[in-house]
Amino acid sequence: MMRPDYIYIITRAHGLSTHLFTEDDYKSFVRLPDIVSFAEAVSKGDYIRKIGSIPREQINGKTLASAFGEVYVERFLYAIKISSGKVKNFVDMFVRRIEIENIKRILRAKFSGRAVSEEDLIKVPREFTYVNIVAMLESPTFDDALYHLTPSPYKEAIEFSQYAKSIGSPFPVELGIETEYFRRVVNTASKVKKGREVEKLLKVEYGTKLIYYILSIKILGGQVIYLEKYSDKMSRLMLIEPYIFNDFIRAKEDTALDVLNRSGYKWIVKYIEESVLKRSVSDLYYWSSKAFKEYAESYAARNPLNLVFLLWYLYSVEFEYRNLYTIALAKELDVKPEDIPIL
Amino acid sequence: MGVSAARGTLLAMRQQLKFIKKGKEILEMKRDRIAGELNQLLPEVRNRIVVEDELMEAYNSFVNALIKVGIEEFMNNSKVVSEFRVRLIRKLVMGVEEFDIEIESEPNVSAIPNPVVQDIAMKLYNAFLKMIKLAETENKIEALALDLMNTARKVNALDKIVIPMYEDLVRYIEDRLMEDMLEEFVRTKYIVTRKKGVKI
Repeated sequence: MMRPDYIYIITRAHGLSTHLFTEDDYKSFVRLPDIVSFAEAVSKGDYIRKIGSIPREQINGKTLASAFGEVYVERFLYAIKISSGKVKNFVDMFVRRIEIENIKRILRAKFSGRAVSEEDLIKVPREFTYVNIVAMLESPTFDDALYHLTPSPYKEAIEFSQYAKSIGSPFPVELGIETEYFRRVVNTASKVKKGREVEKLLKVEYGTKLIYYILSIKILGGQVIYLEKYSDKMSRLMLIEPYIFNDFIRAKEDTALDVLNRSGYKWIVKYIEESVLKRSVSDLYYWSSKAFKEYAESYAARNPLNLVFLLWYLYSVEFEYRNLYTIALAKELDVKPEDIPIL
Repeated sequence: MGVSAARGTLLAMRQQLKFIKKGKEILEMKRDRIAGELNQLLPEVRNRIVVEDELMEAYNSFVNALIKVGIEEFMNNSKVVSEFRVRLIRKLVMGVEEFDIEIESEPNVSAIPNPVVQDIAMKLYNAFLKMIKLAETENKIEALALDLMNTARKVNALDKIVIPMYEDLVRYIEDRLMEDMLEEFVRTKYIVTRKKGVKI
């Protein structure tokens, strides 16, 4: 027998998912002649207030992206608001991905000594952040900024800073933060009743991201061998055995796909194979995202009465934000409808 | 040319002519060298279409990636990249002013954390480097072509006007001196004959 708060949140997730745009909506959006008509078409439901407040002459990719971003954050925060108990803890932790994005933005600027301000960050209320963002922004150096992660759940990422400095990129630290984030969110999911499906979908997401990162770096000729040291930690958050993950790290990009065929990510190969062979990183990004989206969709469809439906709703909010952002930019840049990559 | 037909003037004129001819030779050498260098550089400019295609391809990939990952992702990833600095070095080669573009600090595009952005940054940077090289070559060609034109004009002026004029002048002075010498000889002969009492 499911607890009433579970039933409530799953029912709400079903209800909220009807607010999302459908594939048919996207198909009609991409065919619109310009960004103004797109803004008019999208100005309904949750977006009506945000987009309606933008003067017609100020409608452009940036203002629309900002409006979409605000709705995206509001929807996430609303999901926290309507949940309770351990589910609330889980949603709360899940939503921290916005904070992760902000931390990454600060670290990138600090790494090269560039200026960064609050304007460069996604606006999120203070109570939804673990890290003192203001102090991080004011830090004079990369190390000082990292120091502010010490009291946060992402402190483990600090050990990646040596690699970051040795390869001259903040990427290892970002990966460390994301890994720690996923460890935490998987952990909160494991505490939720019948949270196994949620855990699995989270592991699929983390794995898909990591596969994309590793293959992309291989295509670009970078080094990922240092990840072997963390393969145990990372593979625990994936549907892959540590030794297979090590093989994946060591393999060249084409043979890496054969390694994936031996793992729980066999299904992704058919999506990304062509991009890897073409050595196209942007196609790889698109197809790995598409693969994950379709996987999450079918997984949620198979588990409509599980908490995984709520997780699917949260992912859908994110995908909707990306799709609308993509269409807005494409309309501004006058990209042909058939070339607009909708997830 | 208002010059006196004296032996000293002849010597000075001959010296000047010799100097002008030497100058003309040097200018001819310079002209040939510039022409040679231009011939060497011109094939590089023919590469412009390839470089432009590469730049357009990089731009199209950029637009394609931009709509996939968004402007913000490009903006905040760009903060990782160090400044790209170049320096113009002025050189004078055979009197021709040339500019070499020296890269003082390369942008560390490999530091970009997002692989899509990194890929585009690499493509654009490589295309940009080729454009810089092309601009350097085109600038050299422009300067060399201008100098070739000036040098050829100078050589022509020396060859067709100055040298013939000096040669005429030398010839004129030589003729005048010869006439003077003949006149002097005849006069001397006449005086000597008259002194000897011979009636001419």
